[in-house]
Amino acid sequence: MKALIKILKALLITVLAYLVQACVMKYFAIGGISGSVIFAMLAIVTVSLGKKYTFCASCIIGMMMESMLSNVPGMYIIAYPVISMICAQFFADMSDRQRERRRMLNDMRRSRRGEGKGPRRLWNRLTGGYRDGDLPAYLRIVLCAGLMDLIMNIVLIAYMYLIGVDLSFSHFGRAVVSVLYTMALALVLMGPVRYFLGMYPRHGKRIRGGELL
Amino acid sequence: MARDRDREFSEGKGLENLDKDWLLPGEGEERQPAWAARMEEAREKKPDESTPPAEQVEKPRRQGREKTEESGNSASASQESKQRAQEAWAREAKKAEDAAAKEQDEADGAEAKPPKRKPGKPAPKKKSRKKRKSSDQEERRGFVRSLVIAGVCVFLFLMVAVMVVSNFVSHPLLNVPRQFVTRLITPVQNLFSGVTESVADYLRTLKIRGNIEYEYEQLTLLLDDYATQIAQNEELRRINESLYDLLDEQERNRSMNPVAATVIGTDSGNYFSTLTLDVGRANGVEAYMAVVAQGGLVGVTYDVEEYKCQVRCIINSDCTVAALVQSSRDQGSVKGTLGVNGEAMCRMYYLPDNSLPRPGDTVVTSGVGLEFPKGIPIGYIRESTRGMEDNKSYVVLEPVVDFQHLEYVTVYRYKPTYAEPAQQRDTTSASLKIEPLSTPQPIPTFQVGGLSDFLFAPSATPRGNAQLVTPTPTPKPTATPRRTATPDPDATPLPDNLEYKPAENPDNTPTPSPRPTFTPTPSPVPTPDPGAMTVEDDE
Repeated sequence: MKALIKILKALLITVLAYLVQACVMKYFAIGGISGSVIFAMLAIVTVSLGKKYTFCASCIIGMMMESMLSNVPGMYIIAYPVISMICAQFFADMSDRQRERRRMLNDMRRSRRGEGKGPRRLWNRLTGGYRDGDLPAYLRIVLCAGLMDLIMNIVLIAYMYLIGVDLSFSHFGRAVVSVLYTMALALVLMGPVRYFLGMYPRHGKRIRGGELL
Repeated sequence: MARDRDREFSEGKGLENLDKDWLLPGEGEERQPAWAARMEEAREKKPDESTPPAEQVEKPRRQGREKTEESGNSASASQESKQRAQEAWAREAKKAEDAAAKEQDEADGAEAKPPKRKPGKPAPKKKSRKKRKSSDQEERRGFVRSLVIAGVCVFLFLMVAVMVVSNFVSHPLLNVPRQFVTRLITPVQNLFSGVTESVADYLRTLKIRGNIEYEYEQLTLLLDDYATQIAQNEELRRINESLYDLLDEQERNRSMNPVAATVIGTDSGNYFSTLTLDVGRANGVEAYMAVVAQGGLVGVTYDVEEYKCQVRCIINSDCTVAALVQSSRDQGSVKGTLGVNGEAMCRMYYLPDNSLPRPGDTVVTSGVGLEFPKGIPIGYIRESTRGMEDNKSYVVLEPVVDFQHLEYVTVYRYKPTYAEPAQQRDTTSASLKIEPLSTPQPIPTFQVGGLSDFLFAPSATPRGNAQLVTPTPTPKPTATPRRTATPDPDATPLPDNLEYKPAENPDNTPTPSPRPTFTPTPSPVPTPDPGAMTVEDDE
């Protein structure tokens, strides 16, 4: 039952993101550039629920975008799942096996080279060297949303170039603004969406398990 | 379960005591910890359970030997070291046993810790079977769940693939997913879009309303500014009109040396009406000069100082002005009534008994007595009925000037050079200086078809095409003399350029409303005898 509720929540979030993107975001355009709520939502789902949810959500989003808002035939329905899965490879929670392997490798490195001293140690701390686990989820969500939107903008700019449009700095400027806008949206939306998905346990309730799907 | 098995291992009972009926094939070997194998090997090497292995005992022995060598008592030290080694071995074995039990519990996952029981009791078999069944169910659920997930993913992937292919291959079946999604999403999106539009419209309305309120406030302020400007413009227009009238009057009567003045003070009491002007001796103003405004006589100056003077209005009871009825030329004197009955009116006394002024007749200054010129309008006769005051009959005049709204006036600095000053008139008669006239008797000059030069100033100037007729020095007795007022012996005829010239357009001069309409008094017009007149040819 809990798994079903989680699936329904994810589906509701997916559809709501599409509706907001299709109907609401035109009112929140900054200089004619609107961010992508869809990518923000996909980033949250990627980090919070995993790759399988991301794949399903991206497929549903792609189908809806392709059916309702298609400009280039077949682009959205291919781009959304592909981009989502590419980014999920980087930003989704790593598996226990991968985490254990990484821990072993880091142990080997530490035994050979040590923790480092002075700037080296500080550099390792800042850059996540010898990190056994994932980056913080909040940082991963923002970065994942930015990367998704960046890839999408690159695809769109490439398409524009291929159809004969002369590229200028305005195109890249718009892409940068769009990426920043999407990252800001992800930053704003991650709290309520993760709360809605049950990422934050409530007081007095004990969460059993914790496995996904 | 695993803890019991490990305890049996630690007790050296071996695996033969375990119940192998519920164990899966190979489960016992997998869950046998490494430390148990080591202990089994050690037990095989040394069957005595109480004695520790040689390697483990040797190390404490060496340590104890070193300590005893240091202390010098070797016999007792060897026994103590042996005892310590046995105790250390027992502690190590117990630690290893606890660690193995903990590791086994972690390996079992969700299995709860078994309840503590005495070593002699057998293990509970029913609970273990139940737990094994529940774990099997969970495994089945997990398998079904994975199967469902895989099915969903495959279904979505197929849908995506079909939609991608439908872009390149046209087949009705390939459009089914797109149509399905469209039918499913369209009503939801319509509903959501409608809600969004309504919210956006409401917010837009709020924004517009805010803008409207802001614009309303701005326009209100602007309207106030405009209202103020309109009032100022109206005031300026009135001032401009007043000054224009004043200037026009001064232009018309420039020969009387006019000077404009501003009323800077008004004493409009119940019994007196005096004005204070901003001109004085520095401006050439002297006492008993005529003050005119709005085309009518205001009063006479008095109490002249360097930069100011006062005006006694004609409605004052102590102000008397020589006047005449413009139509009938009947002379009299005008006096104010403010001190008599409180009304801003005038009364005209000393009219001839046979004079019959009609309402609306204009009364002008006669130029007799004071130093202001002749012809300045004073007022209009209100009614023909005469009143009596101290056996003196009078008619009531309505002044031309509105004394309540005087702002700008004109002071005529007119001074006759051939008549005695008015100030000196009430002195002794010996000081009178009578200058001979240029002609023994004023000879009227007639204009054919026109009025006499004795009449009002605008017609005094002969027209260009007028034909002047010079009467004979001795008029014939048949000629009907014109009925004129008896000339005052003190009156000094003014030269032509010193007569007051009222405005040609009477509408420009404010008149008391309703302005009475009057008909000129029929007076016998002298009809010159053409035969008795000689026409002089222009040569």
